[in-house]
Amino acid sequence: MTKPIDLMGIPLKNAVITAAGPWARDGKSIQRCIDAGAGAVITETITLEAKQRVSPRLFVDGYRMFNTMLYSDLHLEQWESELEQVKKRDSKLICSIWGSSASEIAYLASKVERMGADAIEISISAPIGSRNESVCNHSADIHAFVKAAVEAVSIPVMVKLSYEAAVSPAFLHAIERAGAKAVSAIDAIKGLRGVDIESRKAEMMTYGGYTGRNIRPISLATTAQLRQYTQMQICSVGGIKTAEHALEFIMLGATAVQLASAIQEDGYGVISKLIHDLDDWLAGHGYSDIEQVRGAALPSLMPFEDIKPQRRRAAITDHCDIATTDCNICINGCLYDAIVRRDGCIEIDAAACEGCGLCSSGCPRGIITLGW
Amino acid sequence: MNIRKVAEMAGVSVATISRVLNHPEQVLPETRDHVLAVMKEQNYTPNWFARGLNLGTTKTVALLVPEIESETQQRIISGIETVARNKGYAVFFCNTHGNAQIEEESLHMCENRRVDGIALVSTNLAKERVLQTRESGIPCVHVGKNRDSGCDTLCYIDFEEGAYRLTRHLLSFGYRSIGLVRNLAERNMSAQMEAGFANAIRESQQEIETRLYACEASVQSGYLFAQQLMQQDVLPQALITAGDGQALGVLKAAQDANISVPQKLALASMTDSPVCGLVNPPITALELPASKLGMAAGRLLFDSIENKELELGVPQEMVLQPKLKIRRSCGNEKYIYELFD
Repeated sequence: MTKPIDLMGIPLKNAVITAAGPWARDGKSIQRCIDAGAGAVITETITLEAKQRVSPRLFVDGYRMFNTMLYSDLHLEQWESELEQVKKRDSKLICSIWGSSASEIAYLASKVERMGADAIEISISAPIGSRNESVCNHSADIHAFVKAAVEAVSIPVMVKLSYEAAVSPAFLHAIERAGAKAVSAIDAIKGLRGVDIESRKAEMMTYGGYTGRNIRPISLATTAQLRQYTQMQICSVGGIKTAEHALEFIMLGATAVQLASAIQEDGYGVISKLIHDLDDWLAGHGYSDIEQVRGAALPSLMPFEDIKPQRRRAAITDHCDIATTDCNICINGCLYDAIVRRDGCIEIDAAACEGCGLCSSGCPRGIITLGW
Repeated sequence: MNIRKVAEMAGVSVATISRVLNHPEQVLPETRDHVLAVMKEQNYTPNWFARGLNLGTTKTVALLVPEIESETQQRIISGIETVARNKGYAVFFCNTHGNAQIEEESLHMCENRRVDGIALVSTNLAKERVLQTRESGIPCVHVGKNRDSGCDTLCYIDFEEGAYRLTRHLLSFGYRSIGLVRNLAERNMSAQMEAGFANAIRESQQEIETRLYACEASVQSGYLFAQQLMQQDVLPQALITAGDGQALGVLKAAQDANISVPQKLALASMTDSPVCGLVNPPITALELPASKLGMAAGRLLFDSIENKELELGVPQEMVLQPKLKIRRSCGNEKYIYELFD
C-alpha cells in the first residue's frame, strides 16, 4: 500500500476520486464508489432546484460519448436522507454544487457541509445548457462567487473548470485569490455527435458534453498548463481509465485523478482495478509514496521556441511488404516523396526525408525509426 | 457541548442531528437511537428539546401571496409547497390580493393558528408588525427584495441584472428610444427594473431617450396602455414591460393598429410565460426561476424553524438570477440565438 495523499488538507487513502456524475447520483451509488475503494467520491451536482432528466441523454458512437445531463434530479431534502445512509468508512465525500449567484452557492455550500461533506466542488462551467448556466462567462463575478462559498464553510473548496476556464491565467488567479484550494480539470468539452445530412438534422437536440478517451490529450495538456499557472492543487479528469493514465497525469503534476465516463463504460469495477494496478505499478517500481513520481515528467517539457531545429531522417529497420491494399500510411503521409514501394517493399530515400516523424510514429508495425 | 461536537462524537453530520431533533420519524431508528444516546451521554439538551420532541409545533407553515392569478406566483407557491411536503409540513395558504387590510388579517390568523413559520411574498406589512410576529416566536422569510420587510431573511430574483441584460439586448439593435412599463403594485421589482435599465443605458454612453410608464399587470391594461401611447403619437422604438400580460396586451394593440413588431416597435418582457413563446412574433423575455425561488424561501424558512435554538447561522439574503430567453420581438432573426444566450 502506498502512503495516503493530501488533497486540500484532507488525507485521502489513495489518489483516485470518482468525478461528479450519475454514478454518484444517490446514497446507493455513492456507496458503490466507496465500496470499490475510491479515495473520495464526488456527488452528482446538487442544486437548489432539482432538474428533471431528459431522455435520451446519452449518445454513444463507438467509444465517443456525449451526454446532455445537467445536475442532480434530487431535492436537497432527498440528498440529506440519501447521504445519511452512506457509510463513508475511510473514504471522503465531496459534494458538487451549482448555483446562479454567490448567495445561492454560499447557501448550498453551508447546506452540504452540514450534510457531512468533507469538501466542496463548485461546478462553474457545464458545457450543456445555455450560457447563463455557466459562471465562467461572468469572470468578473467569479471571485465573489468562489469567495462566498469559501467563507460560508469551514471545509475546503475546489472548483471544476472547463477547458476554456482552465487555460485562462486571470480566471485561475481570481479563483485562487478567492480561497479555492484546488481545481478539477477538465469538464466535458462542448460537442455534437454529428448531423444526419439526409434529414438535415443534428443527431442530438442540443449541445452535449463530449467525454471519454478522446479528450484525454486535451486534459493532459491542461494539467501541465495548470501546473505552470497556479499553485492550487490539481484533480485531473478527462478520459482516465487505467493506472497508466492516472500516472501520466500525476507525472504532469496532478495531485489526484477523477474517474468519470470509464465508470459508465466498464462499471464500478474500473475503480478498484485502477487503484490496484496503480499500487502494483508503484510497488513494482520501488515507490512507496506517490509524491516520488508526482511532476516527474514536467522537466521533460519545454517551450516550443526552445526546441533546437535538428534534422533527423527516417530509416526502415525491417523488411515491409504489407500489401498496398492493407497499409499505405507512410507512403500517403510523406509529403516529401521520400518513401516509395519498390517490388512490393517499402524503401526510404534518406536524402529526401525531412524528418517530420509521421511515418515513424504512425507505422503500425513500428519498424520505422528516426535517426541522425 | 454544541451540535457540531455532538455530530462529531456520534459520527454523523450536523444535518442528521437536526433531523433527529426535528423529524425523528425520517431518521433510521438505529441512527436515531445512537444519536440520542450520545446526546444523553454528553448531557446535550437544546432548550426546546428539554420540553419534548416536536412539542408545540403544528407542522404547518403559512404563505401570504398577493395575487394567486399570476403564473410566477403560482410557481413560487409550488416551490414552497414542494419543500414543505419534503419536510412533512402542510401549507396554510392566504391570498391577500395585495390588500394591506387582508394582509394584516391573514397575519393575525396565522398567529392564532400557531403556524410554525410564515413566508411573506411581496407583502406591504409594516416592519413593526412583522417584527412583532417574529418576536412572538414565529420565524418569517420575505420573498422579494425588500430590506424593510421586518424579516432578516429574504430571497429574491435579481430583476436589476435582468433589466440590465434585457436593455443591453435592445441597445445591441440600435434602438434610440426605450420605454419601461412598470407595474406599480410591484414596488420592489419596479425599483430594481429602473436601476438595471439606467445602468445599461449609462454604460452604453449613448444618447438614449428613456421613458418611464406604468400600468396594471393584466393583458387588458397593457392593451389600453399601448392604445393611449399610440394615440399620443409618442411611441418609443422599444418597450420593456414588467409582466407578460402587459407585453401581450401591447402586442395585440400594436397588431390592431398595424404597427409591426419588432420593425416599428420592439417589445420585451421582464417575465416569461408559455404564451410568450406562442404568439407572433414570439416575445423575448426573462425566464424567472420562480419555483426555485419558492424552494429557496421554503428552505430558508425551515432553516429558521429548525435552527431556532441550534445556533446555526443562516445566510440572510439569497438572490437568484433570471435567464434571458431571446426570441423574435426585439429584432433577433437567428434561430440559434433563441437557443442559447
